[in-house]
Amino acid sequence: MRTLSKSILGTLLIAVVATAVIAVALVQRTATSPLGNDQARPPAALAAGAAGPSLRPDATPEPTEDTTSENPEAANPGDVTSSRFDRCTMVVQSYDMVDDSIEFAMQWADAVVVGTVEAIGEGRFNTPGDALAASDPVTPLDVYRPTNIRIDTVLRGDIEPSGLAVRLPGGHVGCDEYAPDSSEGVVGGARYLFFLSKFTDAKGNTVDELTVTASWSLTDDGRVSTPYDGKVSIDELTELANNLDPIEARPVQR
Amino acid sequence: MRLPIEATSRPVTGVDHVPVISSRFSRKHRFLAVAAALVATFLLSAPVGAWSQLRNDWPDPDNCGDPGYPCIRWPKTASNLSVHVDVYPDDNLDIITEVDMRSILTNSRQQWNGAPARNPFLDVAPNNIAGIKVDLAHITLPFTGLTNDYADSNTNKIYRADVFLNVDILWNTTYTFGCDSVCHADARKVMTHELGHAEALGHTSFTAVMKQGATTYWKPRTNDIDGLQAIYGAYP
Repeated sequence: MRTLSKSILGTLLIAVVATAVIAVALVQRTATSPLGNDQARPPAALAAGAAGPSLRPDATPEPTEDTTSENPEAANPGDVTSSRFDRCTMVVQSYDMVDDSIEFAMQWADAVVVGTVEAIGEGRFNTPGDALAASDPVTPLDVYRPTNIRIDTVLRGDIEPSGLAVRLPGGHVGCDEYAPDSSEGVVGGARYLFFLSKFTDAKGNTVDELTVTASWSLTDDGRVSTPYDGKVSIDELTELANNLDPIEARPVQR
Repeated sequence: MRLPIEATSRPVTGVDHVPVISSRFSRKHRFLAVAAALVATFLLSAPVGAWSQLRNDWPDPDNCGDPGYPCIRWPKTASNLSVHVDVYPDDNLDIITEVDMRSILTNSRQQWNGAPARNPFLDVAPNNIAGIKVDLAHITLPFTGLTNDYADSNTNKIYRADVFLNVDILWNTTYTFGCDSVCHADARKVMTHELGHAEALGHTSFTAVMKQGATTYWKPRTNDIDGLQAIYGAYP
């Protein structure tokens, strides 16, 4: 009987503790939501198909009270007159491919190399002479950074394993910034698997340097950290590259 | 190594029933306690870095707000409602004849609008007032589409977004992705994916509509909703 009582007491104690832990957890999860009230959801969307004028000025949503800066470093972004927009602007560009496999990315690149970033230059317009390019809605802020990489391994393409000058899309010009997701997080001194392609500049002129279209970082053990296939060794990537079709001659695209 | 069942079974002597009953109670409740602890651990644990927000050092959303990694999003309303963002479907969408891009855009908007989060609510409006424009463009193959989010450098709040689908893709609604003589892609998935970028979601390697490339689904998944809720808050 005493054993049974101990068992019941123990059970009750465990239940109380577990309930308390769950209650604390639920309170914490609720508290982490930045929005706490229970307002009604806006009504259903209007039907699609509304047509408007063919030219579109910069459209700005209704102003709201939420204007607090969340980036202290950007609190003094510089002279707004140095912007090509109506305010200092960061254009974040996200590209999407037909296929996300390594083979597909390699097949479509003009060169694939492993290399170390030696230096990254200042941002400049992708035009001859760094002139302000005409506004293009697809790439409204066509800015790149001249970048030197020291090539360790050539997996694909006709590239000498030495130093190479490439164009790294993105960077600051004036108080504006172009931030394509293809070159997010690339820093000097680090090693990457680079996918390089030939592109024209903003005025359609073929440029000598290859442009970085993707850069995957290398881990301490020398393997490549791929977005969708985990860590892959360079030997595996080399074998993969050797089994691909030869690089086709393609028209240089914008 | 897995032990035989006999080796893990408690011997029943039949001499003293009380300890046996006690043992059953304690095992049952030890199980309950362990289960409760597991549930609590799950609830207490930080969200897995599966989704990502524009712009951070993908795939680590914890970098949001760190120097060099300003995460952008649409502003909130004063009353914590979802902000309304109008979408303008450009007349160019009618150039695509193999699928009905307008109805696909409508369905994609409805998917994001139905998410249990206070993410931007996507209405349709004329070009001159819309915050998001959906259009076609010639984009370098094998890219299917791209989205430009325009954020105020001072506040990191998005004030405009442009979505472009590649006019050089042969679009379908059969989850066909790939390139032979032409490149193919599912218009529903790409449209929903690009609108996800317009809502401030980045790429992910997890099962989500924000995963790049071929999928066999086109509607936002749990991972996508987790991202929206983390950025804008849950609804209700």
